[in-house]
Amino acid sequence: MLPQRAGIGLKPEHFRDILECKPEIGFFEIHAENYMVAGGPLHHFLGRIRADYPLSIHGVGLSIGSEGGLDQAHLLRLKALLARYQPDSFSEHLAWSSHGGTYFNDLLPLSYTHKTLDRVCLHIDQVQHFLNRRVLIENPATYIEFVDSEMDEADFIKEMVLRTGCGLLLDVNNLYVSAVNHGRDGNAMLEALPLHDVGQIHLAGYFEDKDSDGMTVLIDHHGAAVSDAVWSLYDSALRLTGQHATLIERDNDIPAFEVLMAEAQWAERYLAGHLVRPFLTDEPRPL
Amino acid sequence: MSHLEFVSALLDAEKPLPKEIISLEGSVVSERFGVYRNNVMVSLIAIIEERYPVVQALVGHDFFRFMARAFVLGHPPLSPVMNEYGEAFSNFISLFTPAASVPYLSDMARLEWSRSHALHASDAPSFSATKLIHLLADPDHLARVRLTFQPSVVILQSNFAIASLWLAHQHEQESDIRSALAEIDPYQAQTVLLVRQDWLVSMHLLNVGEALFVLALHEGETLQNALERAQGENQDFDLTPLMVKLLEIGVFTGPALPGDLQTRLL
Repeated sequence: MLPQRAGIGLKPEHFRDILECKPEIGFFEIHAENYMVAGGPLHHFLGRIRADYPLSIHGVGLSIGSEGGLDQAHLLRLKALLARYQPDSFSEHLAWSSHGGTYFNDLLPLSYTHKTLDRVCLHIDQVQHFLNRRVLIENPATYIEFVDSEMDEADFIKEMVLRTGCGLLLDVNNLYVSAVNHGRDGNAMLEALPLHDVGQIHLAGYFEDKDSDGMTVLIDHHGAAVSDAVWSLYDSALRLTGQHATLIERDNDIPAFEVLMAEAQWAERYLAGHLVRPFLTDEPRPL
Repeated sequence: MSHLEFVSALLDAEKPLPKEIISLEGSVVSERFGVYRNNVMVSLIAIIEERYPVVQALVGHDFFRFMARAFVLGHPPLSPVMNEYGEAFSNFISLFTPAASVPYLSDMARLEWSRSHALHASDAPSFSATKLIHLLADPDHLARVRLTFQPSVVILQSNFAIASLWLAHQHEQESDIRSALAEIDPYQAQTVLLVRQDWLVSMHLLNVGEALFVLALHEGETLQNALERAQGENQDFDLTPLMVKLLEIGVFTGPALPGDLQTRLL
């Protein structure tokens, strides 16, 4: 398990600084696919950093929501990577990104039908069985919805967690982005999720855009600082879930390491304000 | 919702939107779907841009995007491992007629792809010079010793001065790039050897004799045969300084030896 502290996404441009300065940080997270290379500096530096810090591996390409079966070659690559680095957490997304052998490099949205739920749960079962570990699944940031959806996202996630025993990676930025894009109340969406099963939290920045008719649309681009609205929702989340390992996610316009450290320290101040974990395992589930 | 319908509309903005999608009342559903279209195209073009910075510098940002977009549409990724995406770009460029006025563009893409390959290739310990000197103390062994190469080694032959052009583009200032380019005849053929050293890729120019020698070794020829090929082209070919350099930059992982020589090496 990751420590209940703040962590940062590990970027190659920060490798040497990290090894030299040994910053005081709870953990690092990598995208699994970025390290699926034979050898060279990525493995060299990750190996050295892994020796000093807890590690979270976050997959972005497994396409758990695919209509077709899971990509076996990709599962094998994942298994090898997890065996090599023994991460404290492995997570993936409630999304799809491949179809008919083509990979689209984006987390595409799912319709929340019973049929989709069966397929997603089957795939999560297969992943957990093959990797022989529990995975955390991240709630998505979405821009559209589907007329054929039969339940809302929170009910879908609740059922998915219940059936497969997977955990929830609570992405507070995704939650906020989806709430704004679909005109919902972020706090209500938060409270509807299976918060007892949260295993990690993600925080990131979004880009605010306008439709041609002037309506606000938030894009989950991981290229800015965490917004005030997301900090506030994070505070609400911690009040409900207690402390959880929290990642500052930044994949675009990557600033100096100190800037990310400052955001991580800010997250730790929120964490420190929620020392008591409200859900003890022997208590009845609050949901 | 059919994923097939979704992805058809994803890559082709002319295609109708998937029937089942909706968005918040008052928003424009095509624009909301457009976020996905944009994410896919922009992120894949960004991967090509990141992998081919000098190709981009040679043709300019706008033309590069036009070309990369056409590449992405014709060659979308087949795997989620983005480090493997874009190998076909060099071949694509060679057939992309709007780029025909820059004849060395395809070879530059090949060089940039090879640099990325060299950076992420498997690790292997390099062969020490002392062992080779010991082995070659007996001149008869030249005819029996073959050498194996680091997985990161790539040898590229081009009809153009791709290494010089690439190096010219490593200057930070635009004016320095221009003055470096002014010194280069792009139509001068070059052979380049890439190898990873200290977690960085180093690039070495080989002259005609050196190129023949190294290529022969790389094909699995014995030292003797490789030497004869190089001397066939250039009678003054001097093996020693080249071998010193190749050992210094860690090109070899070891000798592939007949059994009796293997025991001698221990």
